[in-house]
Amino acid sequence: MIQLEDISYAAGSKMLLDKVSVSFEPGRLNMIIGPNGAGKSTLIRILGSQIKPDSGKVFFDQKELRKYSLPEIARKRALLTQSIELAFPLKVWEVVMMGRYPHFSSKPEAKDEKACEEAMRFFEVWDFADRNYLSLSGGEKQRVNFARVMTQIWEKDENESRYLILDEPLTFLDVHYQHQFIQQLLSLLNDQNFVVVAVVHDLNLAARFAGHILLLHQGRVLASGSKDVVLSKENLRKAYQLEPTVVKQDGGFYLFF
Amino acid sequence: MKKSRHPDHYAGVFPVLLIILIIFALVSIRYGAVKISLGEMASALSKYISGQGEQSLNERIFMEIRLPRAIMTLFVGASLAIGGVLMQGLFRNPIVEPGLVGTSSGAAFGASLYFVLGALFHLDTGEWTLPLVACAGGMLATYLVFILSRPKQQQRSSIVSLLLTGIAINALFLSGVGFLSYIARDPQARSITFWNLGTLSGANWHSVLITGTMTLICFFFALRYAKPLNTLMLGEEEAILFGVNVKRLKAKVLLINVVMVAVATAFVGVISFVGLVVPHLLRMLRGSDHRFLILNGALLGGIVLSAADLVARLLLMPAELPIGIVTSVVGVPVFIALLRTKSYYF
Repeated sequence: MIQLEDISYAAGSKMLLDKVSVSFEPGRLNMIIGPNGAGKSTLIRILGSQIKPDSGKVFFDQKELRKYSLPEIARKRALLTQSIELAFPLKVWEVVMMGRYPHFSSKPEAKDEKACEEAMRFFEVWDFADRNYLSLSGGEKQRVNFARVMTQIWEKDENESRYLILDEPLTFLDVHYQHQFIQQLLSLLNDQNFVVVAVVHDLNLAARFAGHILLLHQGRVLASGSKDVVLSKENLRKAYQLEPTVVKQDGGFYLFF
Repeated sequence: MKKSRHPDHYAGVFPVLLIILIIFALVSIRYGAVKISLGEMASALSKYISGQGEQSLNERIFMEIRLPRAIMTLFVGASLAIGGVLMQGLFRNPIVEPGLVGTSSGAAFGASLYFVLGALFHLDTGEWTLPLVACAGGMLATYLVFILSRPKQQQRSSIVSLLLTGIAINALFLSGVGFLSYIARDPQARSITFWNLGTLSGANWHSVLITGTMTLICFFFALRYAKPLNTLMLGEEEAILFGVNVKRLKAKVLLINVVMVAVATAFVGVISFVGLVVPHLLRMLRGSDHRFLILNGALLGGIVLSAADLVARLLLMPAELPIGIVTSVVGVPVFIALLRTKSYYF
């Protein structure tokens, strides 16, 4: 479980996050939504140890995030950021192998190669393992990065939690891969020690798949809870200044703006 | 066991480069104002080891001039190439060369100051003053870049601000060099110019020992940071996610680079282009893994500089061209041709 307690972060005089408290539990798809500038990416960067909050505490299970060493947390937590640019040419499998860096000291071992191969097959990038990463399309790059991020926390451990944090993971993917990826995520949730947190823009994806939604607005928590509670007309009007039409279908609902 | 699916595409480069390196070193020892045969090299070495027998003139040229010079060339080439790999990796930027953080312009300023002041006050200095002053200048300039580039707020990537501060400090020190050579009298001005273009003619066993020790130490440290440098290819914030302490990595890598480049520059002057080109040649050849680049950069840097030194000594024999001119004049067209023909892009 990931817990945030009264997290605040300011850039200059602007409060990007203002006393945000939320917990992300395993076994369900935790999604973060909110309009541009709501503080979603700032929250993700805090979860990734990339910035430190000005105040408040972050817990990964019972332990505070700042008490983990960087290599220690890197073996349990993987984060997929938006649009990754590689500075120099590398083969696809070299990029994926970086996900195993926290697990070996100088040369990859058999289990690292195995994790790479399995993750690459899982995300269907094994066939272009030997291609130059820089020659791939946006969607292909995104899938390679999925594989890279997943190899980092590939091995299941009964006693250890794994954390997967995704910042707009569906960008660049076509509908086929979007749905396939969501299904893959859901299948990972069978592991009771697997925590998934994802920032998404598509509210209908949240309406359909989210187990828990955090709605951020101007750095504050506007709503947090199940999708029926969070995706109310009132909340969405407040956050997006648009009132949706709700269409119920197949036991779920769709939002039209 | 390596899977057949993924044969190591970096394999085989190191032994080939090692053989080429040995050939180039031998050729560069053999040719010059006088030719030295392999037999003379062998007999000079055996006489040196046994401590018996009078050395002939050629044998003495070999032991006291050619051999230290050839070894010095290898170490300096390795230093510059590894420095280039480190700096390009750290800045995630293909146009960076090892002198970027002020090291070589600072060293050049120190050397110029030495030439001008030494002549002005008729100082009688030993052979160590010039390298020491140059090395101090290089370190000072780099230190200035490092402290001035610390951003007050984390608004901009600290690496970008390091890059821009480096460019500014370089410009400052180079204008200092320009001013000193403007006010200098003719022989000093010539010394400044010559030193700024680099020369290996002053190599002796002392300078080889110091440069070699430093190069080897830095080489092994650089290898330790190959993995973190790889993650940096994805970006500074990404590297953190692999457990890399980017701030510390930056300081350590800069320190390695400064020591290598400042020491090498102190003895041989400013040699441009090798540090820029060698990493690119290797990436074009196979790929960008930093372990591969550092290991093979050490060899290819030595090869390139040996070749350049050979040309510098033979072209206007018995006079000698500054090696910096050779590295640029020969290196630039070759480099541009390679960039244009290969499908090398990023």
